[in-house]
Amino acid sequence: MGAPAGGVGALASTEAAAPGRSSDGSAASVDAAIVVEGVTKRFKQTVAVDDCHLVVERGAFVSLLGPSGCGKTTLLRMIGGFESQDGGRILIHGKPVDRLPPNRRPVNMVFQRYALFPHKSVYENIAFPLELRGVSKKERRKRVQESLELVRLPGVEDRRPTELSGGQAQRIALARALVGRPDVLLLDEPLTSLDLKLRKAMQLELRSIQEELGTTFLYVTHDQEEALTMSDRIVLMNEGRIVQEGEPAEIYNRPESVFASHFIGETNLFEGEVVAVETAGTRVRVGSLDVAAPIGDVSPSVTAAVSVRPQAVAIGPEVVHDHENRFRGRLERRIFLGNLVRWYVEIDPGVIVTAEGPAEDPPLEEGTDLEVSWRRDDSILLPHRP
Amino acid sequence: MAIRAAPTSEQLDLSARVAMLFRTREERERWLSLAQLTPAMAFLLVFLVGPLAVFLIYSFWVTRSYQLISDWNIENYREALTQGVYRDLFRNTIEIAIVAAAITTSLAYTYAHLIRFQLRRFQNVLLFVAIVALFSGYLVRIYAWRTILGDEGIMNRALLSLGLVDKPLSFLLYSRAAALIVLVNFLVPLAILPIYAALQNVSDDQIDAARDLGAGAFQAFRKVTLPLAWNGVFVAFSFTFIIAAGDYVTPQLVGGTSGAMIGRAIADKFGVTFAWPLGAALSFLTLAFVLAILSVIRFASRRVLR
Repeated sequence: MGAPAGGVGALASTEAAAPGRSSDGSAASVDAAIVVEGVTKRFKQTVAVDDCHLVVERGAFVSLLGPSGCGKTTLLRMIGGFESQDGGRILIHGKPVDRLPPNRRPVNMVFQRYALFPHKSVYENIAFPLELRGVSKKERRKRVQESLELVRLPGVEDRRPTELSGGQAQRIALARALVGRPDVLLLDEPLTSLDLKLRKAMQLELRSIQEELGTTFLYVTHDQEEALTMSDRIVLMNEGRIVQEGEPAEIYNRPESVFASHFIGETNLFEGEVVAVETAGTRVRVGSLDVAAPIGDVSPSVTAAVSVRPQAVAIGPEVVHDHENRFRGRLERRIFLGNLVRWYVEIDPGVIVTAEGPAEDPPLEEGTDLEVSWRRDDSILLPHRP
Repeated sequence: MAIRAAPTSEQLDLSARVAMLFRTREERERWLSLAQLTPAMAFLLVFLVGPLAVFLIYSFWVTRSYQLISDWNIENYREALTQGVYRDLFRNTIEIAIVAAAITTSLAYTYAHLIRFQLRRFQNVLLFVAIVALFSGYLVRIYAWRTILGDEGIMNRALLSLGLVDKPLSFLLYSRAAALIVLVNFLVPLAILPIYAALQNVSDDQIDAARDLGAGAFQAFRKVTLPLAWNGVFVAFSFTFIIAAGDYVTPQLVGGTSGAMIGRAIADKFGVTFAWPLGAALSFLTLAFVLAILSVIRFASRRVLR
């Protein structure tokens, strides 16, 4: 009892923490847009979200990335107030929101299937949150106008949602969620139902709208490319847990788990036994081959995995001398991707290395013997199962 | 602009020739949907509009010595509107039908809302339970209610044995309340189905969005759920209102004097006194009142539910 304590016990004291009086937590979390502290959600037997900790800085574009069923949408919905958590607490701009219903949280959400109101015109849809707040008619008109300009779709006020294309409907949903100037915008896979070309265009536009407004965006997606394109930071989730967090390049270049290396981008993954830990690096035995990797947090004779990005792998008839990893193999398949070529080379029975790069001239023929190689530092050493 | 060469007639099969009759695709589709409507339209024309038209004509005629005479006048309407007995019956009918429809629609809405949003896991079972009520005959149910509400019925027996009353309460049966109970009991399952169907079209996301944008639970209901489901609710109300207003069995068997309705009088005009023109006039007035009330509700709800 006594002074409000942090952690799990703080749940009961959330209502008491008045605005402006931060009860506890570090300096970073007081200023952060969203703080998630040890949040857990169970559905019957399954744990959808398992003890998640997350700090989202103000004005950042952060993606929650993970395969379907990893708990990312559940976490987003708990922040929005649509699900209640079974443990932990959530702060938005320093204020606990655990007891607040969705309509009293300073966040708005863009839904996957737009969720526009079909019985209202576009104007009435966007004006809806303003009307509920008792904003004057004149002010409403002005703000709806501004929102439509923000999403680059002016002049559609009188249309019905059913008369809009998918891309337009999603812009209107975005305008409606932003018109009330929320502290944080939550986006639940908003581009999923759009076709590829439109999706790419909207990714860039969402990002520039976010930069223009400076509003914090928390964006849920299962598309790693989308997350890499748009985000300041990526929060990678798997099986209800946050497994890694960082800037896109960091996540891509330094995955900390087999899952992370696999989920983000294409990769070659070799599993084997650590045979030597030397000053220069680690050696991992994969089948009958020795793979060189940098020094890592492993000891001899444990199992580990080595991940190599296909674009780090060199391929050709002659040896590249400064590459520590050099293997002879047979070109099984060559796939032309337009801007790139992908080669599949079998270097040991059942062990295939994928390489990717600009087209070679003349094209290598399938079935030829050749060499694949990569630098030791391009190997990423991963503890087998964290 | 691309200009296609017109195909010669040998190249065209029958369907292509038919297609040529209509200049545009839209035109063709419009005709096709009209063609699809034809059987139902024909049926309604022959068996509903036709007889109605005949009775509309009768309502301006007279009967003399049990003969229909085409002596055009509006006496029947004047009589129907001025005679106290009909005025009372009309008032009773409208009051009972509106109250019955309102109670029915509210109960049905509550039920449909619960199975759509709260008891989703049991929705098939609960929907089936609602429909099962329709399997038993209408008359059977009226008599069942008589055994519940009558002097020797379950209610009075219970009240007597508990010592709450010393003689049976006769007003339980043969009263407006009894008529309402029986009507509501009969109509609720009919009203559940259209409302449930309409609520199926309201997505969880839309309700979440309303909450997210600042609406409290009631505001979300009032501004999103109800307007989106309103067509179904209105259909349910119209349906039950029309059935209640036209019913003449329930008022006769359980209604008593305070529960007497116009349907009974109309049936008598046709079946007993052979006053067809007056009966027809009473029918059309009932129809006019019903349509007028439904139009007012429709119009008012359009302005309120936005």
